[in-house]
Amino acid sequence: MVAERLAEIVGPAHVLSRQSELLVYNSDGLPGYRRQPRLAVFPGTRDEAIAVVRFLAAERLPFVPRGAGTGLSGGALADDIVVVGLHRLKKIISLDVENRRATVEPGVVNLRLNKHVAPHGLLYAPDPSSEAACTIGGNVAENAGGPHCLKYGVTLNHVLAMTVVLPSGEIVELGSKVGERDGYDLRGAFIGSEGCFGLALEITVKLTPKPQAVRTLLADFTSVDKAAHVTSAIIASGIVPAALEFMDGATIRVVEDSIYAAGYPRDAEAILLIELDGLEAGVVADQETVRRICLDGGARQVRVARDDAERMKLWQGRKKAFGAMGRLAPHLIVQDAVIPRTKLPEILATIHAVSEKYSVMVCNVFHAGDGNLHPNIAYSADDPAESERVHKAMVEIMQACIAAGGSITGEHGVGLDKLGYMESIFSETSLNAMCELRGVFDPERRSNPGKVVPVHACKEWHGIPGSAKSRGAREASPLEAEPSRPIAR
Amino acid sequence: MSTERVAAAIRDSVAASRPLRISGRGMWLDAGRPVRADATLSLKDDSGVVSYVPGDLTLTVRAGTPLAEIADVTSERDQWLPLDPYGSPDGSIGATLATASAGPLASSFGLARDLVLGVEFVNGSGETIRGGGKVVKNVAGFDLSRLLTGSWGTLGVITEATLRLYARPAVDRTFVIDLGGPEKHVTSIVRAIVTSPLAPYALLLLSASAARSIGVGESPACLIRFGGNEAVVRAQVGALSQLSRPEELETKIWLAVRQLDGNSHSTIRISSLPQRVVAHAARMLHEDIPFIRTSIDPRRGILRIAVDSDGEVDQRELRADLRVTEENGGGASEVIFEKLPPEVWAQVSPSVVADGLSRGIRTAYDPHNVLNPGILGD
Amino acid sequence: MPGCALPNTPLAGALPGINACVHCGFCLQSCPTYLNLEDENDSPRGRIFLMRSLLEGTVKPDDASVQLHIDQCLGCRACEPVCPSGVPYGQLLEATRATLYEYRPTPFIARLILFVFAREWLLRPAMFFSRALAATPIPTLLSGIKGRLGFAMAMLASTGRSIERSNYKPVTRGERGTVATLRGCVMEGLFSTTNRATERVLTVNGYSIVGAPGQKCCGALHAHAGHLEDARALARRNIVAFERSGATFIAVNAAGCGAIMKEYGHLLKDDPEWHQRAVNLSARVRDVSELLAAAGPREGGPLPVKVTYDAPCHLIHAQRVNEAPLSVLTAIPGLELVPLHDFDQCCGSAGIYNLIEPDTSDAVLAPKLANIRDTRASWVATGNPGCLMQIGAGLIRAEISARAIHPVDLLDASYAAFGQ
Repeated sequence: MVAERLAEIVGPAHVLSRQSELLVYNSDGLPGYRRQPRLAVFPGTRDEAIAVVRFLAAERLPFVPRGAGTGLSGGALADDIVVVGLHRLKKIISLDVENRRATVEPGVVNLRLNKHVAPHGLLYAPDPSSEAACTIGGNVAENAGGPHCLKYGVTLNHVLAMTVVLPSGEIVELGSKVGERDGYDLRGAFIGSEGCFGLALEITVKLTPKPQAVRTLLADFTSVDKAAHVTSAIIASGIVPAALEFMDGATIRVVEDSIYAAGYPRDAEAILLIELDGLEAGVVADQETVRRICLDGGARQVRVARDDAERMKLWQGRKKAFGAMGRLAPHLIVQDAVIPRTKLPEILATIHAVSEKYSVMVCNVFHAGDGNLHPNIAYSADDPAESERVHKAMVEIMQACIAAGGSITGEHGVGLDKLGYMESIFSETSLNAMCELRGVFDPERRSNPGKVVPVHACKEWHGIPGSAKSRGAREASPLEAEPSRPIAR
Repeated sequence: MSTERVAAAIRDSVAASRPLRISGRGMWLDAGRPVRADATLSLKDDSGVVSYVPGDLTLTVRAGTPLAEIADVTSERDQWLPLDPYGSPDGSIGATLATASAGPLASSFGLARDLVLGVEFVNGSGETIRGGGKVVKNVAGFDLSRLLTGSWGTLGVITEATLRLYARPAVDRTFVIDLGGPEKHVTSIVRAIVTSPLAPYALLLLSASAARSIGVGESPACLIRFGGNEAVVRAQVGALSQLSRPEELETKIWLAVRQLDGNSHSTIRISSLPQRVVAHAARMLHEDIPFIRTSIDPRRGILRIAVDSDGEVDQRELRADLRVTEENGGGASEVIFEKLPPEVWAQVSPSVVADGLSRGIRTAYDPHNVLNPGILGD
Repeated sequence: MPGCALPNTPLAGALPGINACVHCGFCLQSCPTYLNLEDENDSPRGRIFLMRSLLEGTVKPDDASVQLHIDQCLGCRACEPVCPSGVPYGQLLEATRATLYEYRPTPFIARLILFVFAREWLLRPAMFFSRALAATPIPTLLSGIKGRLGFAMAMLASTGRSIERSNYKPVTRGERGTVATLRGCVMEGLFSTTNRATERVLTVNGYSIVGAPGQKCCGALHAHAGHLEDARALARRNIVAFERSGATFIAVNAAGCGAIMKEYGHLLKDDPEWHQRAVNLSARVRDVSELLAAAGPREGGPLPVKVTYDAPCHLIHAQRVNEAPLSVLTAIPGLELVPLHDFDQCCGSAGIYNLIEPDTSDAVLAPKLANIRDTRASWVATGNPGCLMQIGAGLIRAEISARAIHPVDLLDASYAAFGQ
C-alpha cells in the first residue's frame, strides 16, 4: 500500500520493496553495521521529494535520508523503516562565478561540483576522502571535513543557504543566498544534524578561488613518534598548511600495493603529506620553514612534488587509503576521534600500546593538522575472538582520546557507531538540550530516528504530543545496540 | 561569579517571574532592541582564562573576559584571536559571541561563529549545557555552539567559550589608498584589488566622513592590511603599488576603525552579493554626508552605516537606508539593524525570530521567557 | 564465512575477491548502469553485496531481481581501475553468472549466439550470411526501423563502412620477432579487412607473421555470460594452436578477446594440467596497439582526417592499455586527433549485452553519441568489434556523419598512402 502510493509519486522503477532488492541498502560505508530497510524510495525531482516527505508525514512513517551511502558511522541505516535516497537529485542549479557561489541539489557528487567549477578558477573547498562518490547533501548532513579543511574549514564554513523540507513537509529557507542574516543561525544548527532535522533540497555553497601557488611536501620518518612531534611543531610555528596528513608504515605499504601507489617510501614508518598554498612568494618562504622543521625533527627526506601530476598522485594515495585496506583482511573498522594537537605523540604511543596488547593491526592515516585521528583496524569478523579484541581495542583507544580532552568524532558523525560514547562527553542536560533542538525541527522524531543522541537521554521523549508510545518504543531498539561493536557482514 | 551562580540567578528569576537583561561588561548596552526586564544579570565578574595551550592554538575563557585581555594573554605567545568587532576592546567575549559581532578581519578569518569551538551556557530553566568541545574539529552532537552564537542571550547565557587562535603574523602592515578620484576610477581600483590574487587580512573602504573620523584624510579611502611572512607581505605591497599609490599607516589604525560607530545613534549593516556591493561602492563612498559614516567590506559584501545623533538624523538615516536598499536591488540584500534609538525599533522591521523554527527553539530553551525578552523583537 | 549457502560453486571460489570490498563506494560514479539506472543494486558495490548475500544465503540464486541486476551489468569493468582494494570485479561477475546459470538459463538469443560462436561449422555460414548481407543495401535500408532488428541491421551496415585505401605490399624484416594473430570470430567474419590490415601494419613495423591453425573463438562471450566450461574448452584449443605456432607474441585486435586471453591463466586456475600452459600463453598476448607502440610505430603517409578516440572498456579497464592506441593514431601525419569527452565510459555494447538488455544499452550509448557529435570528427577510432558495431550503428541511427573505425585501419590507410 505504502509502496504503491510512493510509486505513484516517483514511478514504480524508483521504489524498492522486495527484500532482496533492499539488501544493498542495509549498510553505508561502514558495513560492520547492518539494518534492513522496509522500503526505499528515490525521488527524481525536488517536487517529488517534497511529495514523498509529505506523504510520509501524513502517514506518520519514520524515514532515513540517504545520499551516496559513503558515510562511516552507520548514519544512513534504516531499521525496518523507509529509506529516502536523494542521489537522483543531481542538478547543479546555478553557478555565479563573479560572486563565487553555486546552488546545487543534494545528490550532486562533491567531485562533480569541483570539476564543474574548475574551469572558472574556482573550487569547493571541503574535500572528504570520499569526494569521488559522496554527495553535497550528505556532506551537509555530516558537516563533512577532509584534508584541506585544516586551512579552509569544514562544510559548515562553506554553506551559505539551504532550502529544507522539514519532516512535517513544511519548506523553510535557512541562511541567506545574498548575505549575512540576523536571528538564530538555523543554517549552522542544520549542518551536521545527520539527517535528523529534515532534507536539504537546494544548497548554496561558497566557492573559493584556486590558490596562486601550491606545494606538496612529502616528509618521511623512521618513527611514528618523530612524525607526531614534527606535526605539533609545524602547528606551533603558526604556519597554517592547506593540509597536513599523517600515514603510518602499515598504511603506506597498503597504498603502495594498490593501483593508487603514490611512490611513498615503503620502508618509512611514517610520512607527513604537507600542502602549502597561497601567494607564490609566501608559499616559497613557508616551504623552507616547514622543510627545516621536518629535517630538524628527524625527517629522513623531504621531497617536493615536481608537478601537478605528481601532486595528484600523492593525494590519490592518501585519499584512497581507507578503501585500499580491504586487501589486508575481510573487515574494517575506523574511528574518527579528535585530540588536542599537542597530545598527538602521546596518543599515538597509546594506540600502539593498545594494538600490541590486543594483538590487532592498527593502520593510522589521518588529518594530523587538525588532530583528527583515523585508526583503522582490519580484521576478520568471522573470528569471534578477534572481533572481541578489536572491539576492546577500539574502546580503549576512544577512552584515551576522550581522557585527553578530545571529541569522539571530527567528521564522520555520531550515527549509530558512536551513540554509546555521547554520554561520556556530554552531560545529561546537554544531551537533553540537543533532543529539544531536534524536537523543534522534527517533533515526531521521524527523520533518522535513533541516531546522534541516545533516546533515553531525551527526558521528554514519551511526552511528545502525537508520538505514539508504541512507535517510540520500536524505534528505540536500534539505539540499544552496543557502540562500536562490528557485526559480521 | 561561577556558572552555578548564573544558573541560580536564572532559577530565581523564573521563580519570581522576573525576566533578566543579560549583560557582559556593559559595553554594548545600547545595541539591540529594548529589553523588557527590570533586573540585569551581568557577567562582568566572571572573567579570566580557564585554559590556554599555545601549542594547540586554543583558548578557553570565561564569558566576561574582555577582548583586550584575550589579546594581551595571547600576544605573549605570539598568537591572537582574529576577531575585531566594532566597539570597545573592553567588551566581553561572551557579548561578542552572543551578538555574533565581527569586524574587518572577518573576511579572512571568518565570523564569530567560525572561531568558536565550544560554549558552556545556562538555559532559561537554569540548566548548564555544553555544546561543541575544546578541539578544532568536532561533529559530535547537534551544533549548539553555532546556535548560541548570535542568539543575543535569548537561548541561554554563555558562561564560557573555547576559541580557535591563530599565530600572529611575522609581519603585519597596513596601507591607505586615496579614493578621492572620479567614481569610475575608484570602481576600477576596487575591482582590481578584489579580483587580484592579493589576499589581505582586511580590506575596508571608507567614505570621506568615516576617513576623517579616524584621521586618515579628507577624502574616501581604502584601508588594506597585509599579514604573513616577510616575503608574502612584500610581494603584496609590490603588487598593490602597481595598482595605486599606497601609503603606510600604523597598525593601530584598526583600533580607531573599531570606534567608527562612535556614539552613533543608529548603525545599519547591509549585506549583499560582493560584486553588487563593489559595483555600487564608489557611488556610496562619494556621497559625503557629514553625519553618516559609511564603511564597506567589498569581499564580504558588507556595507555599514553609522548615523550620528543630530536634529536631522531621522530623515537622513531613512534616506541612507532607502538609497542603499534601492541600489542593491531591493530584496537582493539583507538589512541588519545593529543599533537604533529605542523608539524607532518598532517601526523598522518585524522580529528576526518570528519564524516557526526560531520560536520553537526559543520556547524550548527559555520556556519562561526570562532571558532578554524583546531583544530580538520577540 | 561461516556456512556458505552455495558451496563448491564458482561464486564460492570468488569469496576472497568479494571480501576485498570494503564498501567505500568509490566505484559508484564509474559505473554506467548506476549512473543511468540510479539504483545501487545496479552498481559494482551493490552487485558485490548481492554476491556476498548469495553466499550468505540471505538471497536465493533463483531470485528474479538478483538475476536482473547481475544481468544488467555491462561487464565494462570501469570499476576496477578506481577500486583501492583491487577487487577483481570482472572475475566475480563471471563467477556469479556461472553460478546463476544453473538456476536460470541464459536468454534464448544469447544462447543461440553463444552456441554458434562455439562451433566453427555453424559460425562460418553465419558470418558468411552476415557478410553477404552487409554487402547489400538491405541493412542500411532496415537500420532505421525501431527496435532490435533495426539496431542489428545498423550494426551490420556499419561494418561495411571502412576507409578507402589502395593496395600496398609490406616488406617483412621481422627484427621484432614472430607474431601469430588471433583471427577472431566476429573480426574474421565481419571485419576481415581489419584483420588483413593488422597483418600488414605489424609487418611494416618489423614483426613477422606466422599462422596458428586450429585457433578458435577466444571464449570471452561465453565467460562473460557465465558459461565457464565452454570458455575453458575454447581456451584449451587456443592454447594448443598458439603453442604450436611458436610465435613470440600473440597479437589481438579485439580488446574483448585480448582481455580474456590475458586471463586464461585465471580461467584455468583449477585445472592443474592446463594452468601453467595457460599462464605462459597469457604472458605472450598483446593488443595489436601495444606491439605497434613498442615499434614506434613507423610513420606513414599523410592522412588528413579528423579523428577522435574512444577507449574500449576491455582495453582501458581490463587490460589497462591507455596510451598505445593514441600513439598509433599520432603516428599518422596529417591526422588531427580531437579529444572525446568521457572517452573512457562504456558505449553500451558489452559483448552481446546490446542484444539482450537493449534499453540500458541505448541509455548508455546516448551520451556517447552526443559527445562524438560534439567533436565534429569524421572518424571514431576504437579497437573492439563490439564497440565498432555499437557506435557505428548508433551513429547511423542518429544520423551523425562520423563513422567508427579500428585504429589499425587508419594506420594501414596511412601506410597505403605512402605506398608502404
